[in-house]
Formats: sequence, structure tokens, C-alpha cells
Amino acid sequence: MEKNKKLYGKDLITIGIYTAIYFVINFAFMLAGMIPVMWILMPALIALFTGIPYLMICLKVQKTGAIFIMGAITVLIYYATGQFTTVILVTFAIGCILAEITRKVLGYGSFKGNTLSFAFFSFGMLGSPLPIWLFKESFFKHIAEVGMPPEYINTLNQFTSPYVLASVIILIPICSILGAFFAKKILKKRFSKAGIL
Amino acid sequence: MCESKFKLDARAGLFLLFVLNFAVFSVSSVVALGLLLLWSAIYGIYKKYYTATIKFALVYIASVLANFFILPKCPGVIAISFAVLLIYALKILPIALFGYVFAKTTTLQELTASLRKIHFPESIITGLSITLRYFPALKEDYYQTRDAMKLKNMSFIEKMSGLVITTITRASMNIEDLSLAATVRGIDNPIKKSSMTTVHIKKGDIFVCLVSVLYYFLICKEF
Repeated sequence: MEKNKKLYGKDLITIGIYTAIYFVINFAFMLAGMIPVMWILMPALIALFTGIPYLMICLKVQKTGAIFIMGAITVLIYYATGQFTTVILVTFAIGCILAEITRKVLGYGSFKGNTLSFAFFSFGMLGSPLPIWLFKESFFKHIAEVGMPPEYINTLNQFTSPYVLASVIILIPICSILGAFFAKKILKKRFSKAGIL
Repeated sequence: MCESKFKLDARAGLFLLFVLNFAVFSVSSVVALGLLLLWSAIYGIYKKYYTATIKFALVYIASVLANFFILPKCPGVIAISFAVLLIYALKILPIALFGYVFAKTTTLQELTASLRKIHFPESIITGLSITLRYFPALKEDYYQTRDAMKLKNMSFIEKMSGLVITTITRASMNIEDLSLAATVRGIDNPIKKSSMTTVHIKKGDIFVCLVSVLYYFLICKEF
């Protein structure tokens, strides 16, 4: 029993390949984040469209550590290329740990467990727009230095209000659940007959 | 790309990226961010990545100009939404330039050897090398699927569906093939993995790290 819990070469290859697919989708949305609204909504949108690679890892590697490795690879690639901040490292670490705990507690084969773990994992990307709220003072100091009028700063303050952050936080699990159901439907319809699942 | 004499060790590079992250988010002035970008630009120029360095510098200048002159004259909603993004861009540019040059000048073998040296878990190192090596295959698969779909008059949804099916099917097939090949080559061998690439921290790495940390510290203190 103990032997089966260890991650073997095949498991690591599975994680590596599906992480590559996850990363490509993730990166596409990072680029789309050049559109301001998309950037704020990016964590939720990524959750909506990355359900398939995530669930494939959950299905194929029903062992502890798979999701943590997936998150670590994503973070390492982004971090080494300078596109990640330390904030996102922390959010990803928390998200991956919670996702692993959820899978362990609710069962590796449980769809509910995997969906919930996907929601936690998706919170990792929240670290991308989070510095706006975490370093709000620094941002506003910067804007004031640029010479923006006070009315403008007030409106911007509303745009970066805690309510917007709360909306994004609520949207992430909703999109994760939708993404997981969407992925389940596609996987069942297209791949179960082909024997891939 | 012509190689410079001194090559920054991957561990030193990752350490500097970490410190630079803290420095960038602890300053708010345009001058301080510009000085941080200047340090990354020196690294870029030293490694002979002139074009990339110039591009990053131009994006920085354009962002500063947009912040000072264009945004205050824009209508409310546009100005607000782009202001946040532009400020974020200013903050991320010094890190992105350093990361770009670091990624371009560090091979996968050097990165994995360095991660092994700092006792990074072997499972993450193996997963990382597979992911990085799979990107070209994924690109190739995408082009093949796209070309095949061009021959048929397909709607956007059909195209997306086709792309998902082929990507996942090929991924599953590749996993089987690669697993067999990797098992034969000893991926599951519990003996400590060796590497053809030898990495070691040089005096130059320590010097660069110390000078950079001092430079970042002074900028954070002054601004």
C-alpha cells in the first residue's frame, strides 16, 4: 500500500505534460491581462478554462503531491522568467497546500473533492492582481507623484475598493466549479469511449 | 547570441530575482523604479541582449509618458483602468528584464543541476524538465491541428473542441511512450541523479549578489 503512494516516473511525466498544457492556457490569459478588466478577472477566467488539465492530473495521479508539483512547476517557470511576484508565490503555496489537503480528505477519486481542490488551487492566481490591494498605499503614492487630480484618485480608490477584491474572491470558486463541470462533461463525452480516462 | 565571459550561477540568479521582487514593491517613485530597471539593463547589456534591453527601456519610457501626459487627459473609466495596469507594468519591468536575460542565458541542465544543489525535491525537478521539454511538442501539435482544421470549414466552437481533443489525446499517447522510454533509462532508479553540467558558486557570483543587494538596499532607503 505504501509503495503505491510514491510518485513514480510515469506519474511525474503525467504531471509534467498536463502542467505544460495548463501553463499554456494560463499564459494566454496572462497576456490577455493587458486589457485591464481582464487582468482583474484573470484568476477567475483561468479557473474557467483550465479544468481539463487539472482534472486529468487528478484522475491519472491519485497520489499526494501531484497538485503541489503542478503548482511548483508553474511558479518556477513564471518566477525564473521574472513574471511572478513574491506575492503570487505565497498565494500559490497556500492554494496548493489547501488543494492537497482537500484531495486527501475527500478522496482522490471524488469529483467533489477534486472540484473543491481545483477551487483552492485557482486561488493561487489571485496573487497576480493582489498587490493592487496589498500595496495600495504605494500605488496611490505613485499616482499622486504622477500628478493625478484628487477626484481621479478618489474614483480610482473606489475601483480598487475591498468590494472589487471580494467580488474576485467570490468569482474564483464559482468559475472553478463551472470549469470543473465543463471539463467533466468534455472528458466524459470525448475521452471515456476512447479509453483515455 | 555571443556569450560573455562571466556567467551568473542559476542559484545566484534566482536569489537576485527574489531580492529584486522585494525592492520593486517597496519603492513607489518613478526614479527608483527606473534605477532598478537600469541595474537589470546593465545585466542585459553585459550579456549582449541589446535589443531586449532597448525594448524594455522603451516600454518603461512609454509607460512613464502615458502615466504623466496621456492618462490625466483620458476619460475617467479608461484612465482608471489603465492607470493600475501601467503602474503595475512599471513595477514589473525591472523584474521581467532581469528574468528574461536570466532565462535566456541559463540552460535547462544548469537550472536542474542548480536546483539539485540546493536540495530541491527531485520530483519537482523531474516534472519541471518534462514540462519545459514538452512546450516545443505542444507547439508542433498545435500547428499540425491548426493546419488540418484549415482544410475544413469549421466553426470556432468546433475548432476549439478539435484542439482540446487532439491535445489531450496526443498528451495521453506521449505520456505512455515517454513513461516506457524513461523507465528503461532509469527514471525510477532510486540512486541519486548525476548531471553532465557542473555548477558551482564562483567569487564573481558572490560579488554580483553583494553589489546588487547593496544597490537595491540603497534605492529602497533613498526613495
